[in-house]
Amino acid sequence: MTRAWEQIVNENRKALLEQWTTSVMAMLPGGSTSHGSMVASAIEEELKALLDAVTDRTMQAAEPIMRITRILAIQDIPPSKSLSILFMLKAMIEELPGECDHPCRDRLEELTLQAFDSYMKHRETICQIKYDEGRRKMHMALRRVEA
Amino acid sequence: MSNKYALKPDELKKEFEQKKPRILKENLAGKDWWDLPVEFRDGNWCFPAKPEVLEDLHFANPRKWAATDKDWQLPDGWEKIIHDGMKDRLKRFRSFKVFMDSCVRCGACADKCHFFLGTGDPKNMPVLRAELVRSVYRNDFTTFAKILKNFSGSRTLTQDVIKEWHMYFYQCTECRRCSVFCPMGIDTAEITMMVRELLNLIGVNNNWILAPVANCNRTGNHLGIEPHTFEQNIMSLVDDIEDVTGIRVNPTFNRKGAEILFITPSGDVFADPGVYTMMGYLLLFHHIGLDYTISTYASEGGNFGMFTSNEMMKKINAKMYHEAKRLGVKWILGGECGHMWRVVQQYMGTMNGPADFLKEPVSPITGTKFTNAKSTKMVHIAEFTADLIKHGKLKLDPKRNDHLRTTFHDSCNVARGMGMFEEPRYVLNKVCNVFHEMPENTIREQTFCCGSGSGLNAEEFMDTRMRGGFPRASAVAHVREKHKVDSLVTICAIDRASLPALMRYWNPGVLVYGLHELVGNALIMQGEKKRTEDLRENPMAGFEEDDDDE
Ligand code: SF4
Ligand code: SF4
Repeated sequence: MTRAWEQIVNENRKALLEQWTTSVMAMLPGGSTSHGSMVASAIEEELKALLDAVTDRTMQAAEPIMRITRILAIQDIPPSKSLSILFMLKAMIEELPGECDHPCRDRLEELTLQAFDSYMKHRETICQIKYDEGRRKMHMALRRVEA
Repeated sequence: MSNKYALKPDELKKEFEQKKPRILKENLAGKDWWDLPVEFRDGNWCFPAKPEVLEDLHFANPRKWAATDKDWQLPDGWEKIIHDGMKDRLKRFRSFKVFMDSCVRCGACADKCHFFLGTGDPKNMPVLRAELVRSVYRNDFTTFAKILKNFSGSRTLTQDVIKEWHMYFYQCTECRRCSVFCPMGIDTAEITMMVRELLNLIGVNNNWILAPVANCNRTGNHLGIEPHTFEQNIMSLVDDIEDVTGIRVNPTFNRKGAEILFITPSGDVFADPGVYTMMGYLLLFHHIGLDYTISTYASEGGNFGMFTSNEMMKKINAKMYHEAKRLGVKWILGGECGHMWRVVQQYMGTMNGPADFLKEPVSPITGTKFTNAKSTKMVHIAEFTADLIKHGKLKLDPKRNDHLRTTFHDSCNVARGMGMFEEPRYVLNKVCNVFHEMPENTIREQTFCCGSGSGLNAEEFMDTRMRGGFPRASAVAHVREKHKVDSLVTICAIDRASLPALMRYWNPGVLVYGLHELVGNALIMQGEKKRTEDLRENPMAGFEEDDDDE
């Protein structure tokens, strides 16, 4: 009997979340030793919210995606790796026992593209912040020049 | 010499095994923890000092290089330079020796550093940060070397060690939060200071620190603003004050015989939002008719020498007393700054003092004797203002800050470097109506650093700064969600420069203010015009043009 993949995910939610969190955490410089840091707990929390949004289409995924990408966008992790988190999840879901009547691929690809947008937005904010900081530092000089 | 209290080698070994933090015990596939790779990437290193900056300062090894280079072009015999430098400092600085010897690896500091909390990188645990240098110290300097070598990690000095030092001693903002929790009183900030000194001996450095040092050395302030421009900047703020309040304040410059010399970080004179804090000071001094002057030579309270070497800190600091003597003032009043106060409070009195030519500071308005400033002869503006308010000497309307919902960020150096917690809160509560504290373990002596202190405020270092500032930003997010806080008030120029960036990334919509900017907003000046805008020329709530109930 085939079932919806969302249902299979929900049945295995706890183990899946643990496995996913461990894999994402391994991308931090300290790997498993990063546990106990605030960034690790924040990632854990955001992944939890994101998993809810992955399976429940009535929930807004934009907010959890914005939050997790905001954390990842400034870590010492290459973008390709940061943005692989949803592919990681896809592979984990596909390994779960039970046959699905439709693949989870579409949903996870859709969310990956959303995550890409969001990640880029955060990087753009960083660029803007750098630019503004330069201007703030030269505030009085610029005022004279622009007067 | 035998010591009955000293542990025997096997006891020492056992104790070490039991107490060391997890990372020190971890099986890292047959490697030592320090073998975890160090990789310089965009956003995790600051540009090195330009050759001309080093030449200006007569510092070692001027050259063009980058942290991402394979070969850092260290000078010939660099190992000996570091070795001799360390030996010399172990002799001269007792604290350095004690801190090298006395860590019991209890791990109490491990999760206290904002850089560990924000990066998850175990080498940012203060205990491991110190181990980076302790491992070399053990190898080369202690009689315990043989005993400890087999199990505690000691290693020889290589270029990779230097790279690692550069990475991690420039991911410590010398904030001292870890020291609050250390049962042995180890101050990792002081270890960082020592290692940065050592690195400077071989030309491994940071332009964001050394360029301001060179500028300070030449013209007196970080940006290298010359006297006429410095004065022009302030006079243009005087014009702004007049536009907002209708009052013309009259600061004087280099005036001999003034009672008080006022020194503040130069960020208050050229940067946004520091300039609004400067406007606040000027209004305050006018309000109380203070007999003060501003020096265009001691035109910088900040002292990036502190992030460079003890000698450089001393040299840059000297202008404060020089200028006070030349102008014949009675005492010095200092503006809102973080590290300036650590230098003043902890070092100035002995480093460049005693300043016997100055008087023990007494407020000319209230008569209060600032006995705690008896030795340095320099008073913190928050204390000065708190005393004025306490004696009812200021006419204030806190409603003028009703457009702001505030919280207060304790600057590391003022909080942990001089123990000042109450005065700024007292002032803040008198000049505004909405104030909420951030969680207990993120304020006062446990305050979290902005993540950009000690000269790490470089733009190219932004990613690491956002990571290091994550704990502070999370605490602000907490009061923002709970109490709709939108204004982060601080008494530090580096905070005023760096927190706007941190807030924009993690808590967009939260703006950063200096304490005296809010004082300036609230002051009811004699003869002022109807106030409708704050010092940023933003509308005040309830003070609109046609609103008559003021
Ligand atoms: S002084 Fe501050 S930045 Fe440095 S190790 Fe301690 S807590 Fe971290
Ligand atoms: S708290 Fe002090 S004694 Fe304990 S590990 Fe940290 S530095 Fe060492």
